[in-house]
Amino acid sequence: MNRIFKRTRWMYLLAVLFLIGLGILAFLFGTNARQWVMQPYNKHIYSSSGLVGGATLYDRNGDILVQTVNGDREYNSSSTVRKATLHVVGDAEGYISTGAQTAFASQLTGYDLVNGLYSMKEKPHDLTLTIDAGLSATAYKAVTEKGYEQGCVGVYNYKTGEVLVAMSLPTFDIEHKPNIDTSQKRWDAVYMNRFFKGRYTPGSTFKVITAASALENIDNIMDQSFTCNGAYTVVRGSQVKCNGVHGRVTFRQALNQSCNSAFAAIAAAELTNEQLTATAEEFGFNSSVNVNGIECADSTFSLEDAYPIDRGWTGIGQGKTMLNPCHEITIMGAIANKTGATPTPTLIKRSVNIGTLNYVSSDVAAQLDNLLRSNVTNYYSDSKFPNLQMCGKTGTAQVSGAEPHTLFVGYSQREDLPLAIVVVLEKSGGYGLTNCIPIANTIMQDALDRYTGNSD
Amino acid sequence: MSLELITAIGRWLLPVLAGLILVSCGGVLIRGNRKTGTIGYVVNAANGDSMALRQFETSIGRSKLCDIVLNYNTVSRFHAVIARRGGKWILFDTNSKTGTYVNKDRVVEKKLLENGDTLIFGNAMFKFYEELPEVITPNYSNAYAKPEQNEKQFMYDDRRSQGDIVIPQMVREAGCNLENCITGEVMEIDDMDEVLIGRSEESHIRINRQSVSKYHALVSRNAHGRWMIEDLDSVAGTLLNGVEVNEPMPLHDSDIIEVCGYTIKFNDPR
Amino acid sequence: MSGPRWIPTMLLITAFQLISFAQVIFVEDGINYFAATILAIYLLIEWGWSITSSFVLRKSSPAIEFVAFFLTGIGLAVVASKGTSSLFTQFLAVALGFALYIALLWMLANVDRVEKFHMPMEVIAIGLLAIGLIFASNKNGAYNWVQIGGFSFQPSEIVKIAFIFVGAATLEKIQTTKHITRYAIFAVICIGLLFLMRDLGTALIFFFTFVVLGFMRSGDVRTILFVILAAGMAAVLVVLIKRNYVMNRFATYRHIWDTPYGNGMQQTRVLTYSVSGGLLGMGIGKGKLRNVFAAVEDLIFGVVAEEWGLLIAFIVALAYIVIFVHSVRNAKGSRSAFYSIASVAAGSLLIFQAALNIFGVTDLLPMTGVTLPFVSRGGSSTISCWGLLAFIKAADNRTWAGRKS
Repeated sequence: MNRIFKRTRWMYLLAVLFLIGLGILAFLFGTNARQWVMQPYNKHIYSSSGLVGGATLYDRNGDILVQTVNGDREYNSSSTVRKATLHVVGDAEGYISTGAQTAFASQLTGYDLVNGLYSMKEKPHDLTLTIDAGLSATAYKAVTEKGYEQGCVGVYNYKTGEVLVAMSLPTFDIEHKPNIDTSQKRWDAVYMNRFFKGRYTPGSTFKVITAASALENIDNIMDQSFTCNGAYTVVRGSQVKCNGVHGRVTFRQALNQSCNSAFAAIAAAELTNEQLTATAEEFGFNSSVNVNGIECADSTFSLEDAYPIDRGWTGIGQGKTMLNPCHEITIMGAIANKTGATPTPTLIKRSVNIGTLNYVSSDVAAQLDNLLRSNVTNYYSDSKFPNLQMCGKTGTAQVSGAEPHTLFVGYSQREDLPLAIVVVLEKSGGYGLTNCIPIANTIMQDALDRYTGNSD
Repeated sequence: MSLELITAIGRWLLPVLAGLILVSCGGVLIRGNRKTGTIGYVVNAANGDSMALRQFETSIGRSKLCDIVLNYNTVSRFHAVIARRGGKWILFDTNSKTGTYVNKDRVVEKKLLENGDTLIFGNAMFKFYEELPEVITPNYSNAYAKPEQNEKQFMYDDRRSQGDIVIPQMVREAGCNLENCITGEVMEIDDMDEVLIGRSEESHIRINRQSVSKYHALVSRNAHGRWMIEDLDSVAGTLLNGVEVNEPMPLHDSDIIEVCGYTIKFNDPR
Repeated sequence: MSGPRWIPTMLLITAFQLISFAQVIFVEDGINYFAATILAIYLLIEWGWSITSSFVLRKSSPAIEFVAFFLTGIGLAVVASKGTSSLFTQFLAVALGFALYIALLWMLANVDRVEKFHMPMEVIAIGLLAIGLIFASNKNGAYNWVQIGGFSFQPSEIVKIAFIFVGAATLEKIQTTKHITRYAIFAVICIGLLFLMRDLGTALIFFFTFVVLGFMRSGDVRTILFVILAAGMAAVLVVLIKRNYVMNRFATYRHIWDTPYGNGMQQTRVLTYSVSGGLLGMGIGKGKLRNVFAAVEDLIFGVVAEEWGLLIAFIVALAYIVIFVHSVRNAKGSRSAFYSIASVAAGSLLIFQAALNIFGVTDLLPMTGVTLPFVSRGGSSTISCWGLLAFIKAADNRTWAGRKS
């Protein structure tokens, strides 16, 4: 029997394999727990009527965005607020992945590996968001009253990083959820918060980046002047069209009037692929902004092996470049601060250690601030933004096969109103100047009322 | 409310209890079977070589896979099996070509064995014993091979604490007993069949030293009621009156058993 | 010789079970007297056996039964919290299984007696499987259930015992080569019948046990590799012929997150709810996985993890290692090759089945729908597990301490 006894030694291999399996399992449990728990089918957290945990979400002023009453999830009493904050608050079913109820579920449920979701039932982990429900409602009304159905509005405090408005269209009233067929055009990407996850062709708003690159790389750019004949020609038959015939313009005037010829010339003739790419990446292109764990869509920029004509188009924001609205607003913040740096956006009130986004040198930031201010004073006119000391840049983004998108990005220089704003209207046609600026003004005036108590 | 309390307590207490249960059961279970020790002998009639039977089933044949390998042409590769079943010894013939004989009777399938039976595998003749008779003296030639090591062990003897030997029963009576040479503690063994010496918890004489094997040596009574000592394949070995124990050896009055420097005296007043 | 050293362990088990049973017995609308009675009887059986085996039968410490008691107790508590009607049938299965355990221990005490049962066991095994194939009703795609009167049972579970019984053999039987050929034919028939029943998981368990038995008997690694290779080629052939059927079964493996509302439903639920309970669990009966299909049968590991906590779930898993290692340690120095081989085979079968279950529901292995030994609800499987445990106990020489061998 000795032989048989000796054979048993090999059998321990089975026990070892089993142990290895258990080790792998323990490792997977440990590393994936949070992700696995927050699955939308988890009945501990979600039910057909909402978060079982019953946590309440407040806006920055203490207004209730959503709470649980008698086991039912109850949202803000105003239909307008519900629609305006839908994408930020999110839904209990988890369709809106960037909604606070889904994205911050682990904070709301108080999940930890030792106790699991056990403690959730006893004490709800309420959360106060930086969102301003009233201002969001104003933004919603301002956009929809003009008849625009798709787009987004973001308002951001460039001193604290707080996001006050992150409104996305199309939206719906979650208390009366309509039948949604996402294949229909009107419900296109309805569950996506365009402010965080959207990507748009930047159009003329990209001229800010081109200008920054020019300031960094061309010594006498402020003294240069350009002649606009309605187009910039690289070689015969290959030209970038301008929106008008601007004649002889300085660098500042070119930006004020958004002259394509001048900016195409700067990009194509005076900057290299490497220089423009370096500036774009300095400003955070090709990397994404992280808002309390919500990963924003990244702005993309590429000029690899590009010809001067491509660089010309890219310089005026009509190349392959894509811009994320939340990223865009942080660029405005960095310029508004005149330091080239801005706090990382945050949605949760009283977050600590939110970090800083460092984009560009303070020298360049200050010059850009000056240029963006002159856009308003010299071109859009301060009368469009009474009392706001606004700076900004409009844009029109050509979209193949549809009306162009129009955009406005800007900020107030007022010490008591350190807010930056982005307005994107999809397939609106027309111009940023006529479409977006009145909307931006309405929202900023409301903010002025709310935060300074003076609109004179 | 009280329901919640039961749950809340259970959550913390149950894992602790479960862990303790697993450890306490696991500790017992992972130990496994104790070694069998020698339970019989097969002695080659031609040269007196004796082979110990240490398992309940022992295969005999020419193949290297057998427990007892017989290198004779007349022996089949798997010739026979000697097994102990229910206290009896049985010899099985496993389809051998040349046959197996017990006292000149051919074994058809199986046959009961008695002490002293003659076994023939092919043309190899063996004697079967449950206990070795006195006339057959095991070959001790290698027992004297390591005198230096023995001396060394005795040299350190006086420094060792003898208190580590735990002898549970300490009743002094006129009968066979084992005596701790230093402390004089006495363990009465008349009503026992076997006394296990070792480091394991189930040992009758437990010596809690790393050099002592878990199952070190066994003092047991043979079929004739005679006390024998055998070493259970221990690492350090067992000495009887200074001689290494390679085979089960009979114990006589005042014999000294030595396990890693610990000395135990066997007393037989009769 | 062994004093009542088992008593502290038994007290631990009793404490564990009292606390866990309390969570089941005290319900919101009072006390569940039925469950209380059944579980009290279960505790009595545990103590009864421990005392009987220790003081009356003078057997060694009943530690291996303790591990099984511990696992069975968890299973009973889960079933009791699910519903009282299934508790009764499950308890009946435990009682029957325990009776079979004692009966098998008696039968295995004498190797000669074992030999006499060899042939009947072969007939019973093949007969049961054949009956199963003829009368079986389709449950979840496998024809492995037989309905008799109000009771349904899985022949393949009971055949596991016969399979090992027939496969293990004493040394003299092993040395007669005719025997192994006969066993190989027997094994091929059994596994073939299981394939026809489409009970893939059980067929896999039988094949694995067959390999272990073959290795323990012959020690011939080359033959074993040859057998595995042949089986692998046969499997490839089956895949080629019945591609769609097989592909459907394994399409989900490692892709459960692609279809969390479709084929990946069970595994994703197990993972989500397992971590929902954290290390300490949500409390017995407070889980959500129990509402998923086959929760207390195939997915019970997830239910234990969610409600009892990951710690206990992993302790349960480690318990199979203890049983297995014990089965291997016992194989050394047992009173016959029969006991050694049967013990190792039974231990391997149990740990293999536990691995298929635990790693199947967590998507580390393809899910084959086998039960978790001793814990899962299921009459046939519970009875079979206790039967298998008898093989392990029989190899322990201390089991027979009362008798002079």
